[in-house]
Amino acid sequence: MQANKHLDNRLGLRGWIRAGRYRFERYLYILHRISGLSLLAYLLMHIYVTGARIYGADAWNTTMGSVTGPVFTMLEFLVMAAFVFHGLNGIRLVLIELGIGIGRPMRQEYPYVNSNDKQRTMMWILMVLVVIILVISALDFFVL
Amino acid sequence: METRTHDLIIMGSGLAGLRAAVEAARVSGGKLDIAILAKTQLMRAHSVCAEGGTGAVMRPEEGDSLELHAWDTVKGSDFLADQDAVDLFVRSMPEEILQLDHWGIPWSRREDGLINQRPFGGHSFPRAVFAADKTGFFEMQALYDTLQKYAQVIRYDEWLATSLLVENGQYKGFTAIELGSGRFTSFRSKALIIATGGACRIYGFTTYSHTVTGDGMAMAYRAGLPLKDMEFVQFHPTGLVPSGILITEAARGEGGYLINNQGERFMSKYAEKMMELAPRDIVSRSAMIEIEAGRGFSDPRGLDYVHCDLRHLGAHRINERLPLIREVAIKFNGIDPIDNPIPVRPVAHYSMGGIHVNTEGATPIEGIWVAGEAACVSVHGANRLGTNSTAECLVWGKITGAKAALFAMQSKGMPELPMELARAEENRVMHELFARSGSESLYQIRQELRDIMDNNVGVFRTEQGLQQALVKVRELKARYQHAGLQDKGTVYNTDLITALELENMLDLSLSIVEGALVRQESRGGHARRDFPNRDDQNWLKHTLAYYTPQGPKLDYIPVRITNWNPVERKY
Amino acid sequence: MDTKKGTNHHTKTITFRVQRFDPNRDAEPRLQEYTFPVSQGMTVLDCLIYIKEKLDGSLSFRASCRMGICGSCAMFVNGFPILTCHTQTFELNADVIEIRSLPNYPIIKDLIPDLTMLFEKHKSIKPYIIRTDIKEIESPTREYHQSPQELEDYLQFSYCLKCGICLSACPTVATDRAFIGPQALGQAFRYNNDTRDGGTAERLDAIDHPHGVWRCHMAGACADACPKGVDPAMAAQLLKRQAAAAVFGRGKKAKPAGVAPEPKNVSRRPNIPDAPPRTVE
Ligand SMILES: Cc1cc2nc3c(=O)[nH]c(=O)nc-3n(C[C@H](O)[C@H](O)[C@H](O)COP(=O)(O)OP(=O)(O)OC[C@H]3O[C@@H](n4cnc5c(N)ncnc54)[C@H](O)[C@@H]3O)c2cc1C
Ligand code: SF4
Ligand code: FES
Repeated sequence: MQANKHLDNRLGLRGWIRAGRYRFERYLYILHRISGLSLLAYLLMHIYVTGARIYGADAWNTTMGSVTGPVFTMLEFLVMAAFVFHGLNGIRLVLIELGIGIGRPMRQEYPYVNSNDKQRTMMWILMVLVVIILVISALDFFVL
Repeated sequence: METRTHDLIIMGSGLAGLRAAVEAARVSGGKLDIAILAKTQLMRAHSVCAEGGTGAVMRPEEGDSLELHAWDTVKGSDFLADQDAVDLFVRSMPEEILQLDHWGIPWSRREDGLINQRPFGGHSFPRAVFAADKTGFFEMQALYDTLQKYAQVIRYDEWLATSLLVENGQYKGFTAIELGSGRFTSFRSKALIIATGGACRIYGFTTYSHTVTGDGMAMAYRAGLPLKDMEFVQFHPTGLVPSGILITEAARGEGGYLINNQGERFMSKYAEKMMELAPRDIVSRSAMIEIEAGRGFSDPRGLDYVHCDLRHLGAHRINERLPLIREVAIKFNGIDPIDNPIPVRPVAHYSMGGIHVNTEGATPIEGIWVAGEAACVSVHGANRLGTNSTAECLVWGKITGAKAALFAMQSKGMPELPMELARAEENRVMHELFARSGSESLYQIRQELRDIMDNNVGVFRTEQGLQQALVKVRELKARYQHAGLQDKGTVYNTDLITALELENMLDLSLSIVEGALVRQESRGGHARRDFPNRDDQNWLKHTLAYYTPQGPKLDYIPVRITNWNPVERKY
Repeated sequence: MDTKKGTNHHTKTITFRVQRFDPNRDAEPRLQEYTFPVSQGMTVLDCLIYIKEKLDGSLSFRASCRMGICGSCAMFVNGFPILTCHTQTFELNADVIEIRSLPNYPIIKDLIPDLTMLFEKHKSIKPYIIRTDIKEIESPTREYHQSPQELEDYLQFSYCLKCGICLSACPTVATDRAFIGPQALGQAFRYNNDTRDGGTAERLDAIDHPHGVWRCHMAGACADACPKGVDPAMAAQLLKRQAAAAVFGRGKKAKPAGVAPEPKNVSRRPNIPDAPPRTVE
């Protein structure tokens, strides 16, 4: 009615970033978005870089040479991390969106329990899994 | 000043207003331009607070009957109800319950898939149809949601009506402020349904929402319509201490006890048969007597209380049937009723009085109907039974919706607005009030009004107390002229709203106090210490109060007794 | 004698930083401070009322029922959207409390958001019973059959107050104004799951668009913030399932429930008196 006249007050991207006092899942929502976008960016870069192959073995070798070093190892590890997180959290989201692991509708009793609470065990198991895989791969990347 | 025109306008969006809007939309089949206006957002009307249930005869095969519902209502009213209206009321109710079922309300169900009912005060049959303990909330939701079907109903959320435009005894329209912008607007229509609810915020310790300030009653009163039976205010026995939030009668309907500090179920002394389920006036007086005799629990704020004990009902029943009560007790008092008794005391709960209307909900002014708590038909007489008010809203919402729609369809001309009247009102609201200055505070005056009403016009009344109240309210009315607004802006000025509401409350308080002072008897919700008995010889009649600038002018009309002559009331 | 909580009068001085904004005067919202002693038992709304009555009459906010059932008083308090009337001030455990208007809605004034967008979205999902037996609906003869179990399948979603809190909590609404939002999704599911309703297909149409149910990515924030246990997040997921099933022609609901049969073999309840005979003719 008077929306344009008055202050809009929409949170915009701040609404993604400032998850404030909400539960952990709202941070996962943000991480999922960020990891997804990073993987997309990586994919484009990957296609571009591996595209050097067309120009022969020399080109390939120089390009590969330019993407080594500690910085790139670190970046590769981040790609790995994004991949592991996005994949496992994605499994959680797919299950939830199919209605699995969130309980069923029922008469609520105070204090209320919601679907977010009900999937929490699944969430923690998957996140611990993410951490374990990342620790092992970190050892592989940086130590071994 | 902007002018808006509709064929039919419904003022108020509580149960009565929404029911009227849906009915008018249905009856007119798209042929009328209908608008619904409320000072709150539509779905936030006070009716959402109704908890316990709605009364209707649903199971004649199990022993209930229309006559029995009518008898319970008439006896509950202390024989002040108009019995032809009661007949119409009980006859219309069962269909309303089914209608709401068809519109999607989640009525609580029995194992066999039928609508469930529970016992309620003053009813001889478990007659309260309920939806957990949020009956009013769910009824509002079913009606509001159903209203979304009717695109032709135009909604005005958050428009505060300030006065009726009545010229030479003829209805022309009314004035209102759009709160979101502060624009002052006049409305004209062929027909108007007033459904603005009760007035119990005149009291401080009350179950009512902050927005229940009797605006519609006061506007009609000032426009020349009489108010009926205003001295009858219902006190509900179980208001949560200290907030006044209602602990529904259903808590006792489900089997809860009232206990004094001796650990006794004290109602055995006052109503040995029905105990806690006697009508509210009786239970409230009993609780008050216990508290005054020192058998209550003391409270540092002076709100001494008794206990409402639900512990023996068990967690399952409380969670299934009384979830809201439990949540409220936990959130507001830190008490879980599963483990501890709830502190309660009598609390201002309902205005039996209201704008005088006939059994069709029509006022003496053609074109104005009134429905719901704002009206006094009178079904409730001197004391309303629990569950009969939401029921009344539904029945007379439907009746007035249909009647007003038919009237608007048949009448040809749209009234011309009396512009001088409208401009005078604009001047009063938008200029005089803003220009007013002085040392008085609106909020201070409001507080003093509530204190005096709580203390002197409560469960028990005396000549002396009422006289004091009369003097005090007159003084407050004078002081009100010197209370300026602190908010000088136009957009959503809640200071301005308070000022307008306070004026309404002051006018209505006078009609309550004067009516109570003159009525020298005790009947239903009106209990005089100095006249403890009912006096059918002199007082079996309705009070009518007409507005004059000096205060109400009282008149009386007979009660329509068509079925049962008054007898002694025993429970 | 009495040892109840809430009756011991413990007080604490608290500073409230309250958002002020008048569109005719301010370009941007600002925070105004009020400091006063709060006593035990005062809700956040009670504190606002105290400010309005005692300190600054120009402050505007909405409130009506003060018992958590009308949905007027939702505000953003210390970074979280709540119903101020049913939140104890002491429960916030803070010496400074910041109160703002609900985010994601335009501000009308001070703490008053414009919820029109919420109401429109709610309307768009056809939140009413849709059936074909018009005659029975217009003049009902008996109730529709519904078992207590069938009732509980949608009951929790019907607790919704339309308070708007969930749209404030939702990170998707924060960036996509057109997203239909948790409240409407919750209500779509509520009616779809009601055995008396036959409008599932129409409602699935209404939520299956680019800003519809598929925009929900399960941040769970709506479910956590909802003051009434509605759990719109669950509703949204189950709706996705319904919508997906519908594509494969599966999961069609049985016909809407018919009127309940006349109960058989009922007997009169004990101790029900008859109405006394009429004494007036
Ligand atoms: C806590 C509580 C519990 C109750 N429980 C029960 C129960 O279990 N059973 C029962 O039968 N009854 C119960 N009642 C009584 C019943 O709820 C009310 O009598 C009934 O809801 C009144 O409905 P209404 O439609 O007349 O008015 P309301 O619901 O009060 O609606 C009034 C409407 O008018 C609008 N309005 C007011 N003034 C203006 C103005 N100046 N301009 C524009 N709009 C205006 C308001 O915005 C609102 O929309 C209860 C009451 C309370 C307080
Ligand atoms: S779903 Fe919950 S948070 Fe959202 S509007 Fe309804 S009650 Fe409020
Ligand atoms: S004032 Fe009604 S929900 Fe808070």
